[in-house]
Amino acid sequence: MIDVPAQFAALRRFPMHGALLLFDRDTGLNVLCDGPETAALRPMAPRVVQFGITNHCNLACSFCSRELDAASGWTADTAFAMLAGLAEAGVLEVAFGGGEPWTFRGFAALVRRLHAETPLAVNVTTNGLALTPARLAEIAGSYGQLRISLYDDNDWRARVAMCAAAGARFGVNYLVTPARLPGLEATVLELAALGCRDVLLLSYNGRDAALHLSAAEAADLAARVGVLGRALPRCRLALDVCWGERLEAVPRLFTKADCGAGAEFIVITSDQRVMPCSFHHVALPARTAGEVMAIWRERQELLAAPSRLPGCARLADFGLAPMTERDRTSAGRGPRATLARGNPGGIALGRKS
Amino acid sequence: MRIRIWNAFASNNSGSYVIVGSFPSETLAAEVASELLEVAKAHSAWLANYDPAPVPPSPLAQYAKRHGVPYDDAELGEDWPQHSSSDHPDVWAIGHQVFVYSDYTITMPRAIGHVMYKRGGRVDTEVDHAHHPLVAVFEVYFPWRDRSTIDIPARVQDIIDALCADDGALTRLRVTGHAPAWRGVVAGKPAGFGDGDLTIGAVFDDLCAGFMGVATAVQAAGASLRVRVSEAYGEGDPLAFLRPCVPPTRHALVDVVLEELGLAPTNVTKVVAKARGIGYTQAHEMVQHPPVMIVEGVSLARAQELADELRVGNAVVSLRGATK
Repeated sequence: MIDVPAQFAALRRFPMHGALLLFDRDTGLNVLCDGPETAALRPMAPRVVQFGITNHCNLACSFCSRELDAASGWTADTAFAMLAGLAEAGVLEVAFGGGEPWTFRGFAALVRRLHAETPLAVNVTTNGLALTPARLAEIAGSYGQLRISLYDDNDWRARVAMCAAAGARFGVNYLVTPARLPGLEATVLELAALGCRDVLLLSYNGRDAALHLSAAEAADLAARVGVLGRALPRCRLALDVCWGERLEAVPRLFTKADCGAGAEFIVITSDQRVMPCSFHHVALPARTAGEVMAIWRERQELLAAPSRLPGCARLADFGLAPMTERDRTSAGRGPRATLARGNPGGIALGRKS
Repeated sequence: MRIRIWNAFASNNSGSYVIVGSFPSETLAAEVASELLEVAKAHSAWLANYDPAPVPPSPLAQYAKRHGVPYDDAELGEDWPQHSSSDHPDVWAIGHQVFVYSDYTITMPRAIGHVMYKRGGRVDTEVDHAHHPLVAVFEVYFPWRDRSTIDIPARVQDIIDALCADDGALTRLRVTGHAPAWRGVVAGKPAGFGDGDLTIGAVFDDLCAGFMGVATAVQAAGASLRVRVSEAYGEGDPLAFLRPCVPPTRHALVDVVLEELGLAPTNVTKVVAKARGIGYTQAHEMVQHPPVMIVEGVSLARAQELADELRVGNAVVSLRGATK
């Protein structure tokens, strides 16, 4: 047993490559220890599991990454058994997505049970449409963080205001596209004014060229993030891992050589398959925690492969090289670029800069 | 064991902050620096009290009020370091100048600049929320009254050799990838009009230690200095205007480069961590894609010593002439 300072001794331990992570699910406190005494440590499990509890959704977004006809194979009991088994294997956090998690019958009870009977931190990414003060009260004290996806048609101002009024611990996920870039500051500052204290800027992964930022736009975004960082009062601004080195002008807490998909985090889909990330073509069937862990241990090479979708940080030039400025313009910025429909997705939590 | 702490749900986005004030006398500068350091420590400790929450007025508000400077705790936002590697902002004086610095903050209160003016000084520079390296240019002068009696080129050489020794500030505290540079007078080539006898440029991670290290070497040679601070722009060499360095050091300066990791990467990583004063994980990341610079600008003896330590498990190490 590696000695750590007494004030951190009660935190949950998670071995990493040459380091020891200590984690408190109630506060989100992370303590990273490294030195000669931790040099031999290696991860025993993924740190985060993104879990598609259902494929049902109360929105229908054009840019959604999930397979629309995939089954919804989980019950509350089978999902609990899977996640309890993964917690026992060492997983620290689950991030529910889908589909829309709040369309899953008995979701609040599942959240409460996971908190009561496992050491997992339970996080939820949602479009917020089904959130109510009563539902927030049901899960109060049982979750780590809610992440509300911001779309043009999910009345996000009301969702954010409700979460703030309820004292919920929440953040907002905001997909940054060329069309949205000019209004970034206004949106983020409005979020802050509404009571949001955590904004995660997501990049697009997919084949719609109109939704990808060009190199110049990415540089513009980096500059805007720098300004927002100064302007935001008590609000955290984070970048998802898929941005990779595109925003290198923005300082990061830690430098990372890889996004961590398939290693630091994995996705378990609503139809009971394991994927490295939500945008990946690799999807291996697994019905039990043991099967998931066997895939994680034995298929590392496969899980470390890049996604085939443009936007993946593991691809040369992020898979965007063929998408010239002309391609993007000719692809048009019509209705698809306006993000008229939202997907809560399971893509944001576990992805941080 | 190194310990780093952060919150799980998002990363923070912050830059560095530095403000430089100059005062009519060294005594006054030292006095103001001492006051500001005391306030910086007290204010940081006050803000660290979460339970129970800190009760206004804060130490900074009290200090500002004493000097008739506007500051209201109700305006408290991201104007004080929350996630810095230091417990409190650094404050120090060199000669007539006072420096206040934090490596990681959104911004710092305007009251600090106000106090500098109120105390009879003025603000030379304020770099608010820098993301690029902070570049320091030290202008070194020998006093007029002594100039006819001392060998200035020899003293310039002494300063450079001391700073570039293995325990010198330009060796120990330099930031990899930002080699220091200098331009000093040599025999038969006096300084140009308005130029210092020696101009030294450097990038330090630890501004206080770096600045004080340079100041100590300069003052030991009987000279005084003035510091100018700016944020580097882009990826270019911010000190190109001082290269090639004149005069060269008396001793050779060498870079140590790891060319191949070999068969005992863990041991090599530990040596790198020790040599660089960094954690194992950081060292591990650093050595993954050789060739990689391990140390820059050290003496040949130190370079050979380190190379011997690194050459475990057939690791390949080369020594290269340092950039100057």
